[in-house]
Parts: sequence; structure tokens; C-alpha cells
Amino acid sequence: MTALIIDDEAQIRRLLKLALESKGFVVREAAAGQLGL
Amino acid sequence: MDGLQVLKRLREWSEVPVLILSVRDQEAVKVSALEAGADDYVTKPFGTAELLARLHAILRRKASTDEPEIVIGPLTLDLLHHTALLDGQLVKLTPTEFALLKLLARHAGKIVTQKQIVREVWPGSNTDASLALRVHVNHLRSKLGGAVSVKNEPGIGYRLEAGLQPGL
Repeated sequence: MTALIIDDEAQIRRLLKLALESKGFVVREAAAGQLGL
Repeated sequence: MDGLQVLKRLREWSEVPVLILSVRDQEAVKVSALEAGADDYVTKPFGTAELLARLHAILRRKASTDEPEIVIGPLTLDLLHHTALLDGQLVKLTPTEFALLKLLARHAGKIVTQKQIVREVWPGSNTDASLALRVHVNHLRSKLGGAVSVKNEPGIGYRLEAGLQPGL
């Protein structure tokens, strides 16, 4: 299962990434909504 | 672009599960996000366990309703790639037309009320979308020809039917 995290704060993204990856998610990140889309 | 705008843009073409994580905890903000198609809304600061549990809950719900393809007579809707094929030929649809057709196709043969259509195709819209709906229905009709027809139930809504004969 893949999850995309969109947030402009790198720390929030990092925190969520760690939490999700620990549960087996493949995580992708975007720093802005436009990039996420 | 704020989160709500991203969500609205995304929902023009995708049903992918979305969970909003925000510091804004006013009820109105949550309501507009959910109305715009968010599957859940969690406010910061949040507990990781709760967040993961909510993600899993969303995924359980989605998994049971996801059908990659809807087939109605000669019409095939590929929900994964957002394409419509009529007798094997690609039909070019705008994102709004596709959303409308998808909704009608999911309930093929049954009436979908105007209210329901407006809520799902134009989520979060406050303006009267009934005129826009009529216009999009007419576009769909001309693109689909007679093989699949969008029947109007005056004052109630619309119903998608496979035509009896192609071209009729």
C-alpha cells in the first residue's frame, strides 16, 4: 500500500513517513499541493 | 494552493482515499473538507496510533467498494485510468462528464436524484448546479450517441440505460 504525504513542513512529513513506513506503507512525499497532484 | 483546493482538484478525477491532517479544528473547516471529498479529518496534535487506525478504516471501506471497471452494454468505464470506451472506441470526456457518467453507471437502470448528482459531481458547491448539470448531461448524450442513453426523470433526476439498438 502506498501513501502520499503532502505537507509543507519537512518535519511533519518525516514524522508521518516514519509512522507509516513502520506499518508497511510505501511512502511518497510532496512539499506542496500542486506537486502532490 | 491550500489543502481544500488540492482536494477539490484531486476529486475531479480520483477517488483515492484522502485523510486531512490539520491544525484547523473549526467545525466549518472540517465540514467543507469532508463535503469536498475527504474521507476523514484529524486535527494536530494527533496520536500516531489513532491516525493509523483511521487510515486502515478508510482503506477497509474503500476496498469493499472499489470496482476497476463498469460495463453497461457497449459502454466500458475504466475507473483506474478514467477512460470510457464505447464499442471499444475511446470516448473523450471532460473530468466532470466522466464523474457524472461514473455516478450514473454505478446505479445503471436506477434513478439518481439531481441532489445526489450535484453533491457527488460538484462537491462543496454552494451555487445552483442544476443548469450546469443539464448542460453536461447534453454533452454526455451527444458523445454517447444512442447506444447508452441518459434518461431524464423530470423533477427527480437521471437514469442511465443501455439502448435497445445501437444508433437508436
